[in-house]
Amino acid sequence: MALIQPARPEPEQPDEPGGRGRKLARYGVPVAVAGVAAATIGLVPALADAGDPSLPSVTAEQLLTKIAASQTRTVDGTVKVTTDLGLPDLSGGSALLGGLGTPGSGGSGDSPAAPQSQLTQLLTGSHQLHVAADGPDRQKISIIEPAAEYSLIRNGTQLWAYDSGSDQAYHATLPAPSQQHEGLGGAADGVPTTPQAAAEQVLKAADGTSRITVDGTARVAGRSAYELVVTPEHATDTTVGAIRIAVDSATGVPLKFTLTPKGGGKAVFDIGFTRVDFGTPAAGTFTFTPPKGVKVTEGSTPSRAASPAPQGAAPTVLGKGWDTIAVIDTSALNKGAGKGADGGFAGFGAQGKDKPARGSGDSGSGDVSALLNGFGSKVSGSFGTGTAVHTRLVNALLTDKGTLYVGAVTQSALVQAADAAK
Amino acid sequence: MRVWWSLGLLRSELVTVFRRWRTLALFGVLAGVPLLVGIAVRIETRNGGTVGGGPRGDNGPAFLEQVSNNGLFLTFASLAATLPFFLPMAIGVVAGDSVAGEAGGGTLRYLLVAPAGRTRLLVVKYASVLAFCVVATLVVALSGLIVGFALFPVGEVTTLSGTTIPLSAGMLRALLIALLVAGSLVGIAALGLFVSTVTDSGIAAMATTVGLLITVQIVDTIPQLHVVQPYLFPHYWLSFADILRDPVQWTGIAKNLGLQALYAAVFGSAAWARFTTRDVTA
Amino acid sequence: MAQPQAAAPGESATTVGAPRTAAEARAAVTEAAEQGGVAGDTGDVVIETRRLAKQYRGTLAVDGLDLRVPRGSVFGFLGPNGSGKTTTIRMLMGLIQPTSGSARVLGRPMPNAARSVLPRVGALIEGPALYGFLSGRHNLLRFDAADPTADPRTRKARVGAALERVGLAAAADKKARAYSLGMKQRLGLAAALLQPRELLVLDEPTNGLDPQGMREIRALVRELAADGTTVFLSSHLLDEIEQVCTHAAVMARGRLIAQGTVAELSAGSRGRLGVTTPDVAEAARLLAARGLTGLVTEEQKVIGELPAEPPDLAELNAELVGAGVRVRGFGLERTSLEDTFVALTGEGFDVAG
Repeated sequence: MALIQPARPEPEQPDEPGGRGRKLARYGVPVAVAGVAAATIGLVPALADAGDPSLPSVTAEQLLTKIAASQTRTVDGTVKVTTDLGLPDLSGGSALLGGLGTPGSGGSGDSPAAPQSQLTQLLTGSHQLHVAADGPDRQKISIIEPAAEYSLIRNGTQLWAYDSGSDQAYHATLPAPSQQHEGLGGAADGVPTTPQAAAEQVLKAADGTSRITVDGTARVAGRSAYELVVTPEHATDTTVGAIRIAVDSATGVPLKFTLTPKGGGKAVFDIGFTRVDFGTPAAGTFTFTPPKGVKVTEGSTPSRAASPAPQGAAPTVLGKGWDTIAVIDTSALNKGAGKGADGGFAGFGAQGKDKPARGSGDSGSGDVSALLNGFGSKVSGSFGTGTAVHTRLVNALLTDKGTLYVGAVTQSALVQAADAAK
Repeated sequence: MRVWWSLGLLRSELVTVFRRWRTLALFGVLAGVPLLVGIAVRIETRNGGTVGGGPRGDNGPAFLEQVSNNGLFLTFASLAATLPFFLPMAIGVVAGDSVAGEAGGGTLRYLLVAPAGRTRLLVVKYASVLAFCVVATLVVALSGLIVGFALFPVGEVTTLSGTTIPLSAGMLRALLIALLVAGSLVGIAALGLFVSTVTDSGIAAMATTVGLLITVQIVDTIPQLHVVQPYLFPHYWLSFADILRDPVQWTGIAKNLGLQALYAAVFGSAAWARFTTRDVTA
Repeated sequence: MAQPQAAAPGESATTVGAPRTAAEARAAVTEAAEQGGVAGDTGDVVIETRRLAKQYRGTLAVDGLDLRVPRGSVFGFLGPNGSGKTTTIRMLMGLIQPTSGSARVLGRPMPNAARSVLPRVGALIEGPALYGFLSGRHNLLRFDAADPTADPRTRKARVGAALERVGLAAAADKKARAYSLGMKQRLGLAAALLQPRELLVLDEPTNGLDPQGMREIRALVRELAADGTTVFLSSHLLDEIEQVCTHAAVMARGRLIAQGTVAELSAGSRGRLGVTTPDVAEAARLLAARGLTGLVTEEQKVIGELPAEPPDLAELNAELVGAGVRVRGFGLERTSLEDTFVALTGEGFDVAG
């Protein structure tokens, strides 16, 4: 029988069920797809960032000169701001920080579109900003939120803000274009919204108190940059570890700013461009017409010459350089607030004219001490007792007598300062 | 000729999906959301008040504040309100049931001996689930449009950035957004299809898919798990709102569509691997 | 891929009982036909399995099955519930991947050639399954659309003809969930008849039908067979197989224990003689002396199997009476597949369920 066996129409092979081998081969497809995707996600950014650019070496002085001499006044880019003070991410956190940084500004009766309530949110968590500027007088900053956006537009003396979350607008007229230098993103003094603004603040303060070095190069937002490192010197109490500024090799514009605390760990403050274009933004970017039906809150015209803080609450400054401690008499602030003098936000200090009659007294030091009690821990010294709030960068001490000590210094330095004041 | 006949099965599948009372009931629920939202906003703002209570409106759904000024925003608000759960749940039900329901009912074996061909049947099933995604999204969008135009003034559209665009451009963006929302569901559709090939119980597959959706949505909100969040399919869902910025921000949209395509590829091929090698015993 | 469960080549042969020679003879015939170059579609074997086996989590549902279904036959696939019939049918239809062994349907390997084989096969597997929310007509339209070789231009006509053929034309536009079990069964049959088929695989087609429905289905099967369609009919009803089938195979506990023509299978068990008498002991002694075997003695009756060359029954009766046995009843018991089955398996046929 075997002798005359002819070839079968089908080879015997396909008769055999593929079974486990075929099954495994098929499951290999999704595994391979996932693997390739994981490799792509992991490798592509790594490849894009790979190899710090090789640039001619420069000294720190040369780089500082380059920054100072930078003529770039136009920008259109996306900025990522990450703040990690080590505080729980509560909405009260930003109010607290706002209260600390700009006493009395946490008035709850503000328009949701008013800048002070919006910009303080940058002090916690991670945010994406869209920044456009054309010279010192035409600027636009947008805080990109999920399915919402807050835009702050300055065009000459006109300041407009639009908050899509509440569908409300805010308008204020600023003093005539000021003589004082206004950096990119400087529209919001106190809360830097561009790496350049942050760098300018630090470099001004760093003069003579820090060691400034150039530490290699980096690639930021697709551009080649030098890395400038500022380390505090002659300062024993500061919590600031080091500040790293990536400076665009072509334009001298700081592209990324990173502040790491002395205690180590993740950066406390990190702001950098993720996309940047130094061309002139479209002119229409800086025009704003309040859309029909949108409620506009009119802000008062602040006087730049005037003290930004209410009378009696002006902070006194202890120490110098990185060890500076601000001392604020909150009992005076409370009085001031009680009189209806609204806390000014440096640079804007505007309050809605149609602000509800709710006094801000209950949102002044009352809020501050309430929040301090919530977050803080009891401390005592020869000054008496008080409440201390600890973050990874800024520490604060509110004595029971109502004096507030704030600084980027250790808690013990605050206690010492309080003791010394006694 | 082969292609035409494949379309025959697709058409039959579409008829089967869209004729079911269950499908029509899902559409009814989805169409009801804009109506409820619209009426609620209308009542809230009758005396010139604002919606959402809080001054920032952080907790309310997106776009709600704009609805009383412009009815078109009811479409956006409805899509934003239904995208996190209602829409994907409907997709989970239809996708989860797609293969498992046929297996549970026994009709799967008759389709396979017809012979529908396992790969062909799976492709047709996925195509019909995707068609359901599009139609379900359009149901929400159209219901939002009709209710919005009926209850609120309609005019020039204010973008999230505060600029104004003509109504016609706004309508075009609304269509684009509806398509993006439908595209956002591609991932869970593939996930549901895969789950559907694993079990013979339609109910179990639906419950598993919806359970996965809820789990993933919760994981996406836990800050401590932020490392994995960019890889979760709902993570960039709200990026459709970037269409309403001026200028339009495409990064998030591209990330969303890329992620959906990745889920479709991984779970689609997993479904294929499972379905073409499994024993059909139901 | 080697499966330790695969039956040894010789093993299956030993399981084949009485009709061994006939089956082997036919096997030789078909093999010769294939070797003559007519293997494949035109061969006279439409289903052929070799050592087909399926293992579910350690238990063998089907064990070393060598099945041959000749073209043009009405092939009864007999076995109690749980004997592996449905698993075998699912493997033949490509729904289940065999653990080992191979299956060829219409001359092509399954499940690999499912796409070209299945359009020529109509199947009713484990009862009908329908979309309750679709009408009977739309159910058929959907199953027809699933077949890529079905011409959409003639779809409506073919669906109408199939409905007509199973007598469902009047109820075609009712929702299928409103159908009775019998109507569902017929609609399932109609789905199997949407196209001219070379092979019909009908798994328990009369399950749940009333006697009238059963008769109709059996008439339909005969009609189809008369048109030249090979019918592979699984059943746990012996008389159904006997009435309808030309060939049969018997399965028990996953193994094929016999296959051949129904006549051959029935012949395998020789006639049995039953004698009703109060004198059972004497009767049994006499019958044993005349060559009867397998004597079973009841209170009033003795049953025994006649030898290959049976004695003249009239003489035997006279002899019994002559020996003083009070014969009250004397006659041949009907020989049937059931006897074969009992003879082959040594156990009764579970008809329940």
